[in-house]
Amino acid sequence: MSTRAIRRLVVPSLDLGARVYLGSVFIMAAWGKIADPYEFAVSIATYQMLPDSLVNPMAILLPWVELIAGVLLIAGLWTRAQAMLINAMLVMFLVAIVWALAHDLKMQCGCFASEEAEADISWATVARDGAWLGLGVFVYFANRGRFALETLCTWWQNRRVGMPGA
Amino acid sequence: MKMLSDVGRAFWVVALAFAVGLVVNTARSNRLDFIARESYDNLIFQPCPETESVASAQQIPEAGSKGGPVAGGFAQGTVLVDARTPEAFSQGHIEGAVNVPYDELSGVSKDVADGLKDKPAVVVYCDGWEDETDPALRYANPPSSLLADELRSLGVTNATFLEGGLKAYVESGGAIVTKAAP
Repeated sequence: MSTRAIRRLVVPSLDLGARVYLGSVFIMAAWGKIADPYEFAVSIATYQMLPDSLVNPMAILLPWVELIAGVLLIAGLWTRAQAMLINAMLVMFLVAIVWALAHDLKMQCGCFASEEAEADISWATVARDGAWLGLGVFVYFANRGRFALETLCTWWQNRRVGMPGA
Repeated sequence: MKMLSDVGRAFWVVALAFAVGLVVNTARSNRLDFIARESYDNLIFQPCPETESVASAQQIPEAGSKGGPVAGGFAQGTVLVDARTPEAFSQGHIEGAVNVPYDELSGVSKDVADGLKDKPAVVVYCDGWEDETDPALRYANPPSSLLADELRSLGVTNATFLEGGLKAYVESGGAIVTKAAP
């Protein structure tokens, strides 16, 4: 397969797969937190990184950022911006988990709704989030607007104004 | 330049999420105060307890005589604390146990802790750690360990938890009673 074919077919397909996977992870993660904000607030507080005054605003805001970014990432709207947001959140989660591990806190990460089924945080959790961060970085740099709603919007706008290629 | 425009777009998504989050939180019945009224410190427990303070079900060969003292590996006057709901307690508990329904988010009252301070030993137990959906899974921090830890932090220095909970106790041959606690 030629380099050109890889650029035109393989990379966009991998990009789409990574977007759907990563977006789904964040939507699932957001769902339980939105359903029970108090439980999520306690999870945040357990990390003992934020002052109490910031715990609730974070518990109210973060799940919606996760949900909206996840949905828009899959749909392909402002894709690179969503990838940037998701990467920023993953970096934040990684810092929090490493910090908790460094302080020997035996706790669950609070990442998903099925809290009881989650094992305690460990270096495996760090590796998992690191892998997701790798995917997010790949999406940010590999995305060229293929299989994306924003490309369709641009095509539609161009068509309306009669631009070539529409 | 492209990255700057991505940052700008990301900012708008965060602003949208903040607005939606505030509106939904205001509209819901289980809303969260924007600023916590009480400190979360009381809800955060360190892992409990150290290995030497974990009681094993085999250490309770038989239920204590009426009134609480437990035979076996425990000192006379050991108090058994059943941390489950009153409904679960009424369906079966270790004889002599006292029911202190425990919700880790609400904590335990200081009066209860004060009443247990002078006891030679306090052993807390729950159902047995298992996840209802998958018995193979065990809670990393069973509620009984959290209650024991909280009691210790409130000055009940002899508080421990029963490893494996009521389930392990029954499996090791312990009997349970269904009548209400005295």
